[in-house]
Amino acid sequence: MARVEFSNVKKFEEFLYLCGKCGDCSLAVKIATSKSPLSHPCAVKNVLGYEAYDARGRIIIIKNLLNGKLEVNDEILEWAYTCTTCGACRETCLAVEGGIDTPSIMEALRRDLVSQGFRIEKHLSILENIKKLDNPYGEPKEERLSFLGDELSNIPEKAEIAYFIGCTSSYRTKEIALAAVKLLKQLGVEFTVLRDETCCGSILLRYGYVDEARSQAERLVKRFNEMGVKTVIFTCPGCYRTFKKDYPEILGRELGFETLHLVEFLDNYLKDKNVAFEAKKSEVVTYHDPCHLGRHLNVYEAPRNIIRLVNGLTLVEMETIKNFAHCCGAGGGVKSTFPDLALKVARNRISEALETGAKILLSACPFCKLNLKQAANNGIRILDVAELLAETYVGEVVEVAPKVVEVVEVTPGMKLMDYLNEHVEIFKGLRMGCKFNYEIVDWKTQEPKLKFYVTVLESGEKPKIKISKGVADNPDVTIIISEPAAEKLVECKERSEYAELFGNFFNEPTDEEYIDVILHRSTKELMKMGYGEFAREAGLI
Amino acid sequence: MSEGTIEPIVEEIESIVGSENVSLSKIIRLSYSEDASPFHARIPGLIVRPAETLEVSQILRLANEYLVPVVPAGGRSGICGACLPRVPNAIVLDLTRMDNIVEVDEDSQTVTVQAGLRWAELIYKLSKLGYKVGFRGPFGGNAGTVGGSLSSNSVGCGSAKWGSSGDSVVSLEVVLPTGEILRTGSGWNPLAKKFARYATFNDLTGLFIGDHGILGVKTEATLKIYPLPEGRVFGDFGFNSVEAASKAMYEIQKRKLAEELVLMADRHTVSSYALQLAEKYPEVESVLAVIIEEASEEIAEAKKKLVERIVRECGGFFIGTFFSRLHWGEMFNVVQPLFEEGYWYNTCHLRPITMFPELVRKAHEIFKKYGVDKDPEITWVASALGIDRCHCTGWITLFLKNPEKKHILEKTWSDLRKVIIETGGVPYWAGLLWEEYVLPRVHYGFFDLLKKIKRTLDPNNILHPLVFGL
Ligand SMILES: Cc1cc2nc3c(=O)[nH]c(=O)nc-3n(C[C@H](O)[C@H](O)[C@H](O)COP(=O)(O)OP(=O)(O)OC[C@H]3O[C@@H](n4cnc5c(N)ncnc54)[C@H](O)[C@@H]3O)c2cc1C
Ligand code: SF4
Ligand code: SF4
Repeated sequence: MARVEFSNVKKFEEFLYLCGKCGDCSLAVKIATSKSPLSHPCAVKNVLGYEAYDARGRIIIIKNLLNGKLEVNDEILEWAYTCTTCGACRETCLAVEGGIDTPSIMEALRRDLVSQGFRIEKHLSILENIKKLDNPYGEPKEERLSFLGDELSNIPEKAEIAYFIGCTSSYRTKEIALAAVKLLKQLGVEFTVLRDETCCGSILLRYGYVDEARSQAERLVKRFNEMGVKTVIFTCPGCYRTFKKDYPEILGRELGFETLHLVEFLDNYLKDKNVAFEAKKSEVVTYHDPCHLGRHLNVYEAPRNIIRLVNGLTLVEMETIKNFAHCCGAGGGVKSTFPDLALKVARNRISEALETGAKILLSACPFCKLNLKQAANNGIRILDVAELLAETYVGEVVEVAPKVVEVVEVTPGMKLMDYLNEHVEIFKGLRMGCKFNYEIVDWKTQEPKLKFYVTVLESGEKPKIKISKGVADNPDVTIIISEPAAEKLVECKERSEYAELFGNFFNEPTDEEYIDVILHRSTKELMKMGYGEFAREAGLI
Repeated sequence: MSEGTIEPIVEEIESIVGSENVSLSKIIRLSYSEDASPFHARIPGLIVRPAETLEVSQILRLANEYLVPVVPAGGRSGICGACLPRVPNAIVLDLTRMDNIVEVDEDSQTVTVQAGLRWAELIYKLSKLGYKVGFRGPFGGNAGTVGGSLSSNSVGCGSAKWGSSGDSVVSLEVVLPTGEILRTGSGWNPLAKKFARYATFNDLTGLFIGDHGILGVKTEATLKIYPLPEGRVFGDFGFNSVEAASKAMYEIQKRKLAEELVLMADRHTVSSYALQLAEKYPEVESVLAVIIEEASEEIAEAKKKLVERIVRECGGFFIGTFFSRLHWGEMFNVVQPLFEEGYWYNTCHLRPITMFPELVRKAHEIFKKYGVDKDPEITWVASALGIDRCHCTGWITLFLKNPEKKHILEKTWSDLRKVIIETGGVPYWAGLLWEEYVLPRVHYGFFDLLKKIKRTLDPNNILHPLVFGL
């Protein structure tokens, strides 16, 4: 076998070295032992069973490739494409800041293999399709937008907002694109679509064909720039990730427009509007986090926020969610390379969804929908969030009765929010970008009464912070404070007094007055982010 | 055993466990050639993933027929290379598919689990039923299995009160090397529940605990369970010397007051976990983290008062609850963040608490000798965990950031291990980490009996050959 240069993989040599081979990325269940919704993170290993398929095994194998003990052959080539690059292993891994990046290592390996002529037969035909037909599915190029029918003529050729449909929703899950178009119109959003939309090149990147993907990127970015588009909205997280993360990297420049997933756009857009959504019947629904939207781009709360806008639905979460959600099995080129494997992985996810008692499994990704739907075999309805909203849209609610001034009771949580806003010095030492949740809970039931989160916008002696209601995407820590404790904290005049009291509630909690802290990152990482100083200022240490 | 002799039995094994649970693939085999230690051994010849006791039994019978070596493996989170085959062409039994809870018996307050269940999942599932186990698992309990821990004398979470992993066991189901299935404790009576360990005959359970998988494959374990506690208190105490902290640890442990006791021996270690704390208390050399869990808040509070008194008498003072809460809340996640310091090389062993300060002193001397004390590319943590009566673990772990300094690390690591044995320490697990240090010192009678037992139970020496030099 030929000698292979692993120049891309070698960039990750430090990670390969620092993996302590603890096995968490394959076998961990952290639900009771660190309050994290994590169980057997590697969805692929969960199906294929052997160590070779989880991050620890992959790292061992790659190290053997690098040291020449193992040679590249067909088995290696196939194995390289069994990883969905979902990133669940990375989230689980506490070894280095952000976790050992196995998905990137696997993609680097693919790049090395491809660049040296190791190619999977199937991929070549997909490559050809993209080259010739601008889509991987081998569908006629000119029929890309035909699913829109007359609707297309109602969509302006130019607008500041563009909706990028993507190949999957153009040819396979057309209902998602139709729903998105309908919804945006219902909401009165002025938007355009590219008449000559082409494949974004995501699949090429996932396969390791960077040069080919770059030409796709160049073309699309140029088109949007020419059209003067300010915001591009996606319903496909695969395309979204490719634009947002990969394009700037492979093009070596910024895009010149903002990119958003539809759920983010809507979450923001609907905030100050009074739009009603009403389900036909009361139903329990659950939500599957697409890897490219969640772990790759940290969008967790927006889809949940908009699902909660629909009257009549109850959102019940699965056992593994958000950054620890199991992958559906379709990503990273697995669906096209090993469709059976993708389906088996999806069946496991369907089982998790069924355990919630939900009748509808929602997602925000055409790829997840396709795969989950095939696996569900009609056992549960699979719906994209865009479809859900289009289906349940009632309209803008017009206030009929004259507005009466509501008397809002000021809760301890609200008081604390105000207090923190006025005492930003509490957050001294925290790095820009730190994000953490507060949950103000009923002392007896421990039920949250108010959830808000703090984002550090600028660090310093008097840091600039933003306090928002709700839960942060991918927070660093969650601070739980009982209402009576919050009541007392806001009475503090001096910072030292606050620190002492905060420390007391943490160190010597009583039944009523207590503070607890849940960590969402490793201690070392938190310390680096400045939480050590924060903890000291807050009297925790 | 020569290369290639494994093929003839592959089909037969496939017929036992199903072909999807047998693999000859080179890369799959390779992925089982390491555990969480820095050691490498032989690449397995075949990977088999049984799901039931009967399957294990059939495999072992076949292995005897064809004289193929078999190595049991759990989560392969071991850090002494214990689960790595020492001979070529071995069948590695990946037991992690055997991860069911077989029964929770509330009458006798026991849980029976398959040996491949990992501690973290056991804790989770039990907590949903309102129960806990005493020994919760090693700190690697995310991946460490019940079977792997019992086979290697693991200690860890909850050991201060509940002792070593083996102390929690009431009964074992073991498949002997020749394929017979054995149930120990009250399990000898097929009509009896598995509720008592010491019953009617010798304690055969003990024969298999710590055997490193050479005397049988554990397929089920019955462990004691307890209702979840209502009272839990935490406390971190600072001391200006490791001697004072160890004294307090000893006095607390003597009275069995804590569920968990962790001592961070030196400032270097305290800073590794929380720099800000070390900075806040410049006079603190050692920190003792105490976790108390009791059936009621009153009992927990009363014990805490006693602990505080002991700490005061030993010259320590309260510095908060950060460490103890973090340690308990992040139960199996406290070691992994240290990997960032470099690849890890441990020296885990047991010693009386009173002899811990001597180890720390000697370790510092060794660090000085090789310049490790001033080398940011080789770091360490030195800590101790209270175990059982009044002993503790000696946890001095080295982290090598720069692989080019491996020669310095090797010398330091080797000296440490020598000193540990010379100062009366005993490793809990042995494996490739310890064998060359302990085997030359084993008392003849002890080793001779072990040999005889091994020969009797495993006449063809097929189960994990060469471990302990057998
Ligand atoms: C982050 C981290 C922290 C750790 N902390 C601790 C700690 O605090 N205390 C501690 O003791 N260890 C610790 N360890 C080491 C390891 O987690 C434990 O030793 C654990 O008990 C090993 O279990 P395992 O299932 O991974 O066993 P393996 O490594 O798979 O095997 C261990 C030994 O048991 C044998 N074996 C496995 N299963 C069976 C079976 N069913 N029947 C017969 N033999 C079997 C194997 O052949 C081998 O000899 C830690 C490891 C890590 C990665
Ligand atoms: S969790 Fe991280 S350190 Fe542990 S085995 Fe996986 S990749 Fe390695
Ligand atoms: S990226 Fe996903 S599929 Fe790939 S090894 Fe990690 S957890 Fe498994």
